[in-house]
Amino acid sequence: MSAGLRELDATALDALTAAGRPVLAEFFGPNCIICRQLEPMLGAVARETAGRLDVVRVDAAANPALAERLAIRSLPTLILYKDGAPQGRRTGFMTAGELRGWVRPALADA
Amino acid sequence: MPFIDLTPVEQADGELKLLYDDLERVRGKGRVSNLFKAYGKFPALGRANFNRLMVLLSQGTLSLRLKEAVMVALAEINHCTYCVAFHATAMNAQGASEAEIMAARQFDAERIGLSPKESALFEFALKANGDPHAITQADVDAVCALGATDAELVEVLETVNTGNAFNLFAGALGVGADDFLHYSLDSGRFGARAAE
Repeated sequence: MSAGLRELDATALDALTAAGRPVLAEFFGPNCIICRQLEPMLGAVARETAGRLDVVRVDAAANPALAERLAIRSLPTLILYKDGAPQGRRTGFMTAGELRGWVRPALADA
Repeated sequence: MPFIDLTPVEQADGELKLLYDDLERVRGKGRVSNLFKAYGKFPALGRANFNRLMVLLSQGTLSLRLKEAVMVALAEINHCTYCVAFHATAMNAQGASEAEIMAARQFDAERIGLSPKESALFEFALKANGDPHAITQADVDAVCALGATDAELVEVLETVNTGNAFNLFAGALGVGADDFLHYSLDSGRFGARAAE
């Protein structure tokens, strides 16, 4: 039941979001404790929404230009993309239940 | 294999035997868990922690299903496979189905078979575990609006503390699965003996 979330770099994230399908991207840091706590929650949502939502991780420190472009100021930051554009953002820990409630509208008409 | 020697029940004496006797009186003959065999290396701490667990499970007003569901979820978060199997078995003993246990493992409060108040407390527990300092008065008000009392907030938070403490202990000493557990983590199903 481990999360096994895909980690992308800036180029791969841009390509994935441009495809139009909903994407939930977590911007994390390797020393971010809350990011580690968030990972199993994201993993649960990723398993349930496989094929409808891409849940991915992006190391903000390893992709500074992207982090600057997206104004990532704290970790973890979550950005929900749809139709190639950010539809919303959250920062900090979220339970799987909160994540489900947040992404549900984006999946309803996907 | 555990990283330390675990004293078998038949070799226990003194304070360790008192601890094992307490465990078998509550849980049944042959059900001294590896976790408490490890705690038995420091019998006074073993008994203190068993007493703590007994207060948590035998007192308070929250259902055992909720408390075991929280412990299943924490075990999943902490990658404590032994603890998942143990608390899944305990959840099953409270009448939870395999699907409801799987819902706890997937952190899905709505499918565990809990009341609205206890579903909210399950969420509250996970949020506190994820980042306790991010909890706000609004979070507390939301669960209290569903009927949760201050004592129940303490009860569910102590469930989180206890689950995490036992997960750490089990993981760091590699205590391994008990031979009386028959829950498959991969399939999410119980074996024949566990279903009896």
